[in-house]
Amino acid sequence: MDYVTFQDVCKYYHMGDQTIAASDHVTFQIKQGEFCIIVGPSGAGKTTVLNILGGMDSCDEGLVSLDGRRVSDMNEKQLTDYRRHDVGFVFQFYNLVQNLTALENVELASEICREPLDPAAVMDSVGLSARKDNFPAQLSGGEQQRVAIARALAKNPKILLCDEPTGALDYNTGKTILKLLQNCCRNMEKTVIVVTHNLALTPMADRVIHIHSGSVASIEENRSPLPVAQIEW
Amino acid sequence: MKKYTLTILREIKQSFGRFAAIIAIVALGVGFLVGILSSTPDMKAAVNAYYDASAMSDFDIKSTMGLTEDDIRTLTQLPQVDQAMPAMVTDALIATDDSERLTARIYGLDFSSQPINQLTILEGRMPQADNECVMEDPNAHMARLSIGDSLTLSENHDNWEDTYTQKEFTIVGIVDNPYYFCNAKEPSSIGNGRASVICYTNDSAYALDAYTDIFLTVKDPIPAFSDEYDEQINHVTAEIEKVSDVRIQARYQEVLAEATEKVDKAKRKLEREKKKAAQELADAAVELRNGRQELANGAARLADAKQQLKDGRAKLQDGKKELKEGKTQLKKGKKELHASKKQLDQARPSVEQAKAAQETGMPLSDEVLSQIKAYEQGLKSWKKGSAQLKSQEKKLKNAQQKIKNNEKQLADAKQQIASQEKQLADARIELAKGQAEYQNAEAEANEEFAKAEKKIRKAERKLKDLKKPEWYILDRDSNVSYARYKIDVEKVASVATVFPIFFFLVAALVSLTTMTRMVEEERIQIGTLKALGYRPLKIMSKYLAYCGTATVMGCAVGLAAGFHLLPAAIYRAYASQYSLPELTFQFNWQYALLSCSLEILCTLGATWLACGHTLREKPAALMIPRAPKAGKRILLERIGFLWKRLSFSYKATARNIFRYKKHLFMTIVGITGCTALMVAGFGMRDSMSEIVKTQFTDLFRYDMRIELAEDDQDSVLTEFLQGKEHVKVRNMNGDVTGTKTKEKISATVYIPEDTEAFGNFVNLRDRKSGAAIPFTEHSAVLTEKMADALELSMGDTFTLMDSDEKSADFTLTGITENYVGCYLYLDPSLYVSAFGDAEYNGYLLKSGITALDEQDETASQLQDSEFVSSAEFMSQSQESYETTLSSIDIIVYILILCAGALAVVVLYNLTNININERSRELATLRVLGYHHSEVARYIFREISLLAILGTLTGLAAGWALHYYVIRTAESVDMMMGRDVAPLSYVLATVITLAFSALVDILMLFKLRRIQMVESMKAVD
Repeated sequence: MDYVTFQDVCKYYHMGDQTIAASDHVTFQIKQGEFCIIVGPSGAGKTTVLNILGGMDSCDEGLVSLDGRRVSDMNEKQLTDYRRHDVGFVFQFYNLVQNLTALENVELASEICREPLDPAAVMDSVGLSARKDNFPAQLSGGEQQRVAIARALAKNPKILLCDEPTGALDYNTGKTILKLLQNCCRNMEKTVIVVTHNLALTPMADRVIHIHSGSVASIEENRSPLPVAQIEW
Repeated sequence: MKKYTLTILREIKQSFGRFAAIIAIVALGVGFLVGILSSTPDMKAAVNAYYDASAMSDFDIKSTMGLTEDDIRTLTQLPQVDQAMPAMVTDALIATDDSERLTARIYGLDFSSQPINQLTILEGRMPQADNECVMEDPNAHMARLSIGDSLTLSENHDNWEDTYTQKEFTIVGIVDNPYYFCNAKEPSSIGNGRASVICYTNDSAYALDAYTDIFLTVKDPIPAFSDEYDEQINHVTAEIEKVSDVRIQARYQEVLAEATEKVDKAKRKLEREKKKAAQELADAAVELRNGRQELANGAARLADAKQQLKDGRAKLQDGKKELKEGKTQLKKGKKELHASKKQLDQARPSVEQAKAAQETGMPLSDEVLSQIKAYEQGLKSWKKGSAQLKSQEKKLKNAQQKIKNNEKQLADAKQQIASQEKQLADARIELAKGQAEYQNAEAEANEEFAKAEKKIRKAERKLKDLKKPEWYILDRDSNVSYARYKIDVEKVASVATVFPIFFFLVAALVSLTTMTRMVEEERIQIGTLKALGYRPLKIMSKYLAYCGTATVMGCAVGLAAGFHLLPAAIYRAYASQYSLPELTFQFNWQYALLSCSLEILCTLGATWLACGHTLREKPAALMIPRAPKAGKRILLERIGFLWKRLSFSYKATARNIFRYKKHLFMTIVGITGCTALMVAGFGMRDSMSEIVKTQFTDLFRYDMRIELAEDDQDSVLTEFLQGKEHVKVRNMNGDVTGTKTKEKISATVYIPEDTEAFGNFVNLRDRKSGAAIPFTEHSAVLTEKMADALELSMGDTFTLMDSDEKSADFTLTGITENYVGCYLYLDPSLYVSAFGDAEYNGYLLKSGITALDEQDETASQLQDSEFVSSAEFMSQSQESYETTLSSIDIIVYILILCAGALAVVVLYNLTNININERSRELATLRVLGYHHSEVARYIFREISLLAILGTLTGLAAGWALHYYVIRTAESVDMMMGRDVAPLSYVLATVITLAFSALVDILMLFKLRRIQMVESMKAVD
């Protein structure tokens, strides 16, 4: 049972006379509840895949579906609703609204979706019970990213998309965040998709999709993923 | 360097909205400033050029006794005088072809040389014959006549031959005279009080022996409408005054001699006439006397005849009686004769017997013989008696005939007498007639002589009273067109000062903000360049170049547009009031340099400062994203129950507003400025549009004013005043001074005869409370602006000086609302005790006559009254004030339009900055699944709140700005409304918010273009 399906997805960019394929017949499937890592070097087209999956961008060819719904056929408004209800997004640079408190940033997301989780409870679950009323500027990077994850989780999305979630964080903090994401996947049974250029992270994933020059180089399924604590880079 | 230049160009291309916004703001600020500032000089220059081209006179000299060639010679000899042109100018009543009665101003000119006030022919040709004329292109206050129409001096114009040689003029052309370029009433002292036709004809159409006017131009004239020009003119006026004394004396002698000669001639003629009349009367008297004598003779003759008749009648009566007697006698004699005959006849046979017997010889007894003898004797006496009777009878017959003749004669005589009697009666009537005629002639002659004598006496008296002539040296300020234009242009200047400066400041502030923001946005790039080893000046040069280019381009656009559009628009607004020449645009370096350098200084200075500030930081610090400014708790959060109710987006808005204080401040100041400009603009219109109406309908309740030459009434005036509410007033001009300032204000003083009724004609009230000001004994009420200028308040003492320099102090008892003119209302008893007798010289009345032609007719009808010197309808004054003010309307609309444009640009710019700064945040929201509309609401809620805040402060600032502008633009004799109408506040609010909404709509497109991938980017 494939939860996420990418079938021959192509995305072209036109630079003058040249046409560059950011995604070139990308095909892969992800099952529900999997922790999936999309990995590849810079400029390989990982983010394009993430954008298309996240409903932030549309593909020029091919089929994208999530939980049986064809994302690739959605118009802009449907895409917005799709992002609103089905996708949770974690950014590299957290993207918190600076003049809302941590809790309010979570509410920012939960206020607009159908069946949100209790923002305070989510905050508790990411371990930020004490910092709910702090403004982002008063939080460390890791804490901010946790708020961002809480914001994504509070929407109770079908998938959690993370773009280089540890990119701006130090090693230890990065590890905690990854742990948090892994826990989300295991405990809350969320489908988590992480985009990274860091190959060292792959052992922790159920499925690893290698992207190279806009197309899928290989897909490996990991029967026994390692806990984050055992991973080093 | 090359690459670096490229980054500047790329920067411009990428942030074209901002670049264009800076250009637009700078262009607006500079354009508005130079445009408004140069409007006044441009307008002055245009008319000066027109004056130069048509040699507009600097002076018009009039004399009460006419001006001669000698006067002209004297004036041209003045070193300051360039040219002199004599003219004959009179106002006369004329009739048009449609027998409309109009007042015409008729110029008699020498068309062969026109050194001054040159006529430009617009249509037709110049006059050739004396009965031809050209007409000034009629303005709205003049009659719409055309070529081919003829003007006939009105029948009422007595002795027109004294002045003119022609009675009728035909219009052959239409001309333009620089003297009359304004669309205003040309006042006239006759007819309805305004010249409806101004026409120019040959000077030979005039019979006058002297000129009425001399027009002068000065040498090396300074452009008019300036203080320097006024100074020059004052100087020349003094020079002319100097020479005028001599000329006045000479002219006086000349006229005096002429007049004396004329009077003497008249006297001599009168004497001659008197003598002749006396002779004629004497002859008539003699004739009358003769007639009377004849009549007496006739009467005597008649009496004689009557006597004779009577005698004749008596004689006739006697004759008749005699005749009757004779007839009786005759009858008796006849009877006797008959009896004797009978006797004789009886006796005859016996006698005959006897005779016969005798013959026979028978002797006859004696007895018989005696018998025969007796018979014979009897027969003889009968015969004799019979003859006698016969003659008697004949005699009687004759007598009867004679009586008959006599009777006829008597009847004839009687008839004769009767006819004579009739003749006599006729003669008597004729004599009586002759007598009456004689008396009439005598009376008539006497009357005529009395008249002539009176005339002579009057002339003599006049001669005795003959004052030296006066010269009126009128400069251009007395020219209606010049004066109106000067005031109008100055009005532009008075409005012009405050508005554009404020406008400019707002624009400068916004461009400054924009640059500061830009530098702050690009701190990472600055850091990178710094790290790469670029020198600070080089880094700075990018921003200086960016902003410099935008500012210089803005200045160029602003100068080009400002120097052309605004003066042209304002000029066109005035064009309806004047027949103006083309506007000549001049590039005013001063204004250009001033405004551009100020603007460049502002923007470059701001950029420099912002760059300097950023560049002082270490590159390392610049490279890492600046710690986002911490969110802060705001006061509102303390109010828990309220705060909890707010959704997060409202919370964000509330916090945002207070987070970026500079941002808040700039936005609010920008919007405040625009709103304030609009409030002031609309307020200006309120202040001006209402005052005239208030003045002429609410405050002046009378609609007509009559000035009297003498306080008396004749039938024309009495009839007119009948049934119309009126109050008699004394009206004079006086100078009012207070004690606190040295200012002296010339005011119109009204002293009503009926103090109580005066309130019906002039509404005395306090402006603020609207409460009526009592006008009773000892009341002295001043108008508000005057009291204000003299710093007088109730109970203060002020001094009034009349035209004879007599002065008196009064206590101010009231300050009344008034907008146009300066008035002092004085109680008559107060006036009398201060100045003596109050000679009433006018009426204020409610005529109810509104139609213009009816007013004209009334005014000219009233001219027939010998006591009325002029009649004026307030609605006409109102109209002229309104047209003056309507031109200001255009300026106000330009202000509003510019303020609106500024509002759009400012809001666009600020919103643009706002969105640019927050693009990441907005992209994140989009990624989180926010719809476009929700994102728009999130951002516009903040902008709208700022716009509302800015508008609110703008309303307050607008009130203040309006007050300041009004106070600057006001003159002593024109107070403007101090209040801004609520509607204006509403309009300013609505327009600002509408512009804000418009900008929001424009920004929607920008919001839609925000890429969600922005959210992926690192914080920059």
